[in-house]
Amino acid sequence: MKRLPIILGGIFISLLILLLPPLIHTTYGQDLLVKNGKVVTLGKKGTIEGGDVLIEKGRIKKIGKGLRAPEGVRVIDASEMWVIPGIIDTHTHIGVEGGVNEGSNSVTSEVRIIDVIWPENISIFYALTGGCTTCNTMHGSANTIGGQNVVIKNKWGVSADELIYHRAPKELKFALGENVKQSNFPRVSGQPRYPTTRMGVEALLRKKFTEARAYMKKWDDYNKQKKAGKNPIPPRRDLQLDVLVELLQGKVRAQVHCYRADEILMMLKVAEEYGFKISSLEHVLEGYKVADAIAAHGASCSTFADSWGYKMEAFDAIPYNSALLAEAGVNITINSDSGERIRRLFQDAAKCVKFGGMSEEDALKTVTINSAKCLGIDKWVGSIEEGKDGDLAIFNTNPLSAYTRCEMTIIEGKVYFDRKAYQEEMEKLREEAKKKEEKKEKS
Amino acid sequence: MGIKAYISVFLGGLLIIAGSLGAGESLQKAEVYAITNATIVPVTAPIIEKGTVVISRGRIIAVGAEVEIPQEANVIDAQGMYVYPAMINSCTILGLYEIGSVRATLDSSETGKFNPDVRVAAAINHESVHIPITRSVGIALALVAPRGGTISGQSALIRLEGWNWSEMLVKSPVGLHISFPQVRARRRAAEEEDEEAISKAIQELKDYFTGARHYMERKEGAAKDASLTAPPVDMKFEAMIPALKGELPVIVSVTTSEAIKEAIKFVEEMKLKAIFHGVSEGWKVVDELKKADIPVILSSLYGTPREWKDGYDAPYRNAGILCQAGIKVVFSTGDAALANNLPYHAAKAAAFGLPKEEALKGVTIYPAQIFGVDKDYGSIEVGKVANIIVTDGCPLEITTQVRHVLIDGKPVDLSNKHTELYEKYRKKK
Amino acid sequence: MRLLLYFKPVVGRELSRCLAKEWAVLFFVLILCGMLIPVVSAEEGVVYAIKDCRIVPVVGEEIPSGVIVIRDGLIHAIGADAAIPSDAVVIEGEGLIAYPGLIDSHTKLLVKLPKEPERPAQQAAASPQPSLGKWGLSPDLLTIKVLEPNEKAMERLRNLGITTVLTVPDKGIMVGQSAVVNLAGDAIADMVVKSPAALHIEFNTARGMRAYPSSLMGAVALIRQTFYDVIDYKLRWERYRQHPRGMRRPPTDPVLEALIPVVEGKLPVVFTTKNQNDIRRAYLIAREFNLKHMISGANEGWKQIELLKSKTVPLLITMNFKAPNTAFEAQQGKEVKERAEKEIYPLNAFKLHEAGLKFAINSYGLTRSTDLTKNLQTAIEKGLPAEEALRAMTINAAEFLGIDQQVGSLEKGKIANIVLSEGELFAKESKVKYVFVDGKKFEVKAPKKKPAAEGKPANIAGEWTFTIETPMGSMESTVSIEQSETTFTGTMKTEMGEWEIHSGSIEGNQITFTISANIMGETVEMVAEGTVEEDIMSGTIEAGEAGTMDWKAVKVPTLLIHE
Repeated sequence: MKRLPIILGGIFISLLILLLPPLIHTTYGQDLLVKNGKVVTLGKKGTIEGGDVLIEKGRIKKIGKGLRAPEGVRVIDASEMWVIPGIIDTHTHIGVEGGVNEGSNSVTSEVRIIDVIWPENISIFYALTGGCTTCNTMHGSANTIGGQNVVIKNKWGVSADELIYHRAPKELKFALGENVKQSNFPRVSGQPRYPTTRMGVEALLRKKFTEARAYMKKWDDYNKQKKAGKNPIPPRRDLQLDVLVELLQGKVRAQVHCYRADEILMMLKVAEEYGFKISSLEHVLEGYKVADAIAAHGASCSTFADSWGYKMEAFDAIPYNSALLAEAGVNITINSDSGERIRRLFQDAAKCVKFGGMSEEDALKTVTINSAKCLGIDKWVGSIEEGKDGDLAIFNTNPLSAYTRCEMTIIEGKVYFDRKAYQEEMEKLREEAKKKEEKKEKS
Repeated sequence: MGIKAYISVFLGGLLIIAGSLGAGESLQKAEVYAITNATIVPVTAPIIEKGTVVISRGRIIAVGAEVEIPQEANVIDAQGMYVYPAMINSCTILGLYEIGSVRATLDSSETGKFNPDVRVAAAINHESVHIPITRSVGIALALVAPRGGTISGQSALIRLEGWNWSEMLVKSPVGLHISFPQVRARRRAAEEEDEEAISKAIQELKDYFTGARHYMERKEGAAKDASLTAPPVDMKFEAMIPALKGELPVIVSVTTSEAIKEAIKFVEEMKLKAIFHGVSEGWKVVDELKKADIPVILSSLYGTPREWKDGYDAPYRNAGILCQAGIKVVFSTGDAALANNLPYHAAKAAAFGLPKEEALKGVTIYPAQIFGVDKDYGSIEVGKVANIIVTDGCPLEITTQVRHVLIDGKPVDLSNKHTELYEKYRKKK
Repeated sequence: MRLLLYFKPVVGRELSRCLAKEWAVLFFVLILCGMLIPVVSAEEGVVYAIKDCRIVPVVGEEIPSGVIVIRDGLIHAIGADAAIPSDAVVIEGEGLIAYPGLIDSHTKLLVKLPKEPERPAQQAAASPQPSLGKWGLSPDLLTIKVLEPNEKAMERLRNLGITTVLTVPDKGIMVGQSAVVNLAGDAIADMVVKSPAALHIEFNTARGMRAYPSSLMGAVALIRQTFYDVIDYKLRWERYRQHPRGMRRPPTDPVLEALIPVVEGKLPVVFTTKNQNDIRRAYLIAREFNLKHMISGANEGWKQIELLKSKTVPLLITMNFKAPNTAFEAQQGKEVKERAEKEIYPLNAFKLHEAGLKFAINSYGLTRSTDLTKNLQTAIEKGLPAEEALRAMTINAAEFLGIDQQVGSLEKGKIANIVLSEGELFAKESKVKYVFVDGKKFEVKAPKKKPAAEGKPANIAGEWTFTIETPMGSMESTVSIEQSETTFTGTMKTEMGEWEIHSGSIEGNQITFTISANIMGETVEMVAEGTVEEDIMSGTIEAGEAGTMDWKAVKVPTLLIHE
């Protein structure tokens, strides 16, 4: 596989910028010992039969066998169970209040999901029932440049501020193709929104990045003058361009919704022209057709396992997409894009084994460590390793089996979903409801 | 495993080629197959280790551990592999759907409320890309059903192989499909507003059936008594006569518990032979369903429950609860693009309480029984049509590879749009 | 009498009927005239002395029995031994308790916004990048400019002991600058206690995709960008004013101009919060721009107690117990939602109090602002101490709004906003007897006995033939009503054009609503109440100075579709 050199204007700064400092500081995580499970670490320690994971203050302290729980620490018996890293969904729109699209204009990079996190959305709980501990919740795909996405941990029952994974780097959503063109919308009277073609999408992108460059220069000039002891008037702060400048400076991760090979290639070339990096291509259903170019650019791909055919641009989608991209050396992840499918990402991962013959371990990685890499948070989540967050999913059998069931989901050492306890609680609820109904009928 | 899958895809193709090449000289050889050394899961009989299935002229002629292999047979050595009956997807729009957002490619829903006279059979696009894709996971038969309106039309059972729709038909019509009026909105507030409209729509449906019955009676009366005049021919009412006589089942799509109860009342009042479809809240009305003795075609299990107290897993547990009560449950996908996910719906039910054997039966013998074709389909038995799959594992498992699919006793090509694009772009390095 | 000229020629009995009709129309014109002529108050200059009443001044010691002297609209003297002046009209206070007038710290009472102009048809844009116009920015709107006195509405609140309200429109994002007004008077100018009181921000969005912002996140972005623009604007003008020569002058922008006192911390911002997440949004924006801010609404305050305690800001909490759509319970169907509204949401004030937070109370979001005290009683039942409720509605509100030197307690020199009640103010059986606003006395008449409202709200949606009996004959019109559970709106097609029916509410078979009558270009609000009995409704309409009129409505039967 030959790698094309990427010409990038800006210097990549691996420094992450914090999304927004939290408003309140809560204590981090809890202590927990998970014992005697089949621990699939997806990390250096491989798979440990009868393994233990000790979590202290929310972080994994030790992985091994025969670990002892410190005094007062809860122990979970995972005998005959599979323990895997918490599942990470790289593309969702759950937990967003008041609309996932600012669809009025085609460029709205100033809007931020972080402002509208909705912690009481039931989809967050549903995610937990499928072992999903972390997800990237995004602006929709209505706009060429949508808005700023955010990574959350699915801590059901906390407030918005505590839900946000503050370590995750800043992200910006782009979209290409049919949704941006609004080609599947019912026609409305009046002039349609610009752009209505893929040509227009490219033109708009180049226009905006040219503006961003000019804006960046204005600020550079201002800073230079200021340094020289002058008293210049700062340029007008433009939130829409601010984030594009940060992108040009390599501080923001670009996540691009795309389908067709042509638009994928276009986006890569625009990025290379303006000197920034695409951190991930989303859906990217025809990615396999340009796998080499994607690999050369170094973008991750976040795709569907086998969804296809729902629109014209999804008609050349193949379930072998992930296997082909992985073979080309691309970091590949499977996403849900749905508050329902988020509950069964492990099953979608299994399709990577079926279509294209990925190994089981590699398949599991597409919804864990690869996803973490895709979001730039692999230092802390995505595999079971000492020092990482204590995010685990426990299954009754191989999570890639169609017969599997998620039994427990743990985030930072705290059990957020326990199927047994849940069932008991629901049984009570249902019984109460039944009694009430009977009473009603009687009266 | 990648290479193995690759080979399997090709093997099927090669067999077809071999078969057609030999057509001139040894017709017999092309019609006789023996699958050997396999673990055979006949579904209606105990598992046979190291068994053989012999197929001749499309039918199974022998099954067992000690079966003689005819000399003229094409032998498929299934060493280390499994043999199952091919699966049946009990409700899809295969052949009526190509691309979701392109209206020109959609033929599943006719406009208007009452369309008993529309028949899917004549509209099935045998070249649909979704058919070979569905076939490649081991699905040989599918009930193609119409949607839309209140009476949607008549469904057909097709085999996923053939040069045109006529060749593909196994049975048509299979049922008269009714989309039962019910609350669609998830919000409870909207439900109450809808209630009145729904009861009105149910009444309309009943009136329509009553109207059809009058028509039938007048027609029959006139046939017996020359002094009576027959009503003018009404093609819509004509189409309903078999259903009114109980010869053709009505397949009623209904999901909420309230609507299921109403639907039971409806089919009993109208004296119809019924199969219910959808039924995701069936677990709430098990007793009623059992009493009415109505088999159930479940649709996608991937919905979320209507109410919190139902539990996140209610749609998953549904099949197990129904089965425990003795209700026959079969599986379907509804859609066409993911009709190949059928086995995973069945497995999901098995993960949440349905016995695994029942899950398997729900995609093989049970649908054959419900659709009245179990004499020929649904299991591996001598005399039945040889719709057989050879796999490297349980066919309901996602990671299982299907090596061969035989439809009507012939191996079919497992390549499809997906494998073709895969092969094409694999070569690009 | 010019109206008579328009009579159409009619014959026989029709004539008299027609005459009656036209006379009725004329009557509404007279109502209008009556409303436009300012009524000179006979109260002016009267000195009152309330004696022998128990005084709860809120600030300072309670006086078991004392005297309050009111002169020139102010509390002239107060105390156990205060002398009763010889020119005073003495009010016997024996058996009554005197409280400061209550303050509703957030309402849209008396606001009358001009109708939004129709959106012009979209023109084909020559430029290929049409950027949609910004919606909802009117920080330069002074509420006092859009207030209209409405005696009936004010009376309803006064009868509950509310003498002062903070009022502001609720349409848009930066909705405008609020005013604090006293609830008595014929001219807004005389009623205003403070204006502007604060800039109000609501997290609202434009409907559809035809304006920016169409999403909540867009609204937040627009608020932030606007504040950055103010900072930029301010700086540019400051620089320009220092050295105008040789510098191109910046453009003037009334929207940004109006926000300068806000970024300078001179004018506080009130963020309206309709769920727990709005509180967080408000805090984030306030932190980013270092705003002096208050939180209004806070209906889910208990879910954000950590945040509210981390940096305390004035809280103006609502007595609206409706669960927002975002609530977990609201996603579980009507039954669970309604239970939460009964059992969980009324606990909010108590929980905030328990957390040691200080707050004022308001009626924001209530369909009927008169539900304020009723719901407050519920909050008290749920554990909120009555004294705390009283403080919340008096001195706390006054302090937060910066009017504690004028109102909020019974102290010498403060505005004579006084409530005299029989029994403890928030007790269920108590009765407000007198209310003084700006020293003007209002006697609360016992409400007319109404049959108790029972059961489910009556269904009144549909078409009605509506007859108003004016003193000059009856006027017939067609009314169509759209009902949503316990509230409704509608239109009234009359001889004088189409009038709007709004603020309708139904409790059992009792209904109240307001008719916005447009009479010769002027809008007159008339409050109606009545009873529903199947297909007939009847009741009375208050027509201001013109008195009370009876009305009756008969349901127009809907055509049954033949089956």
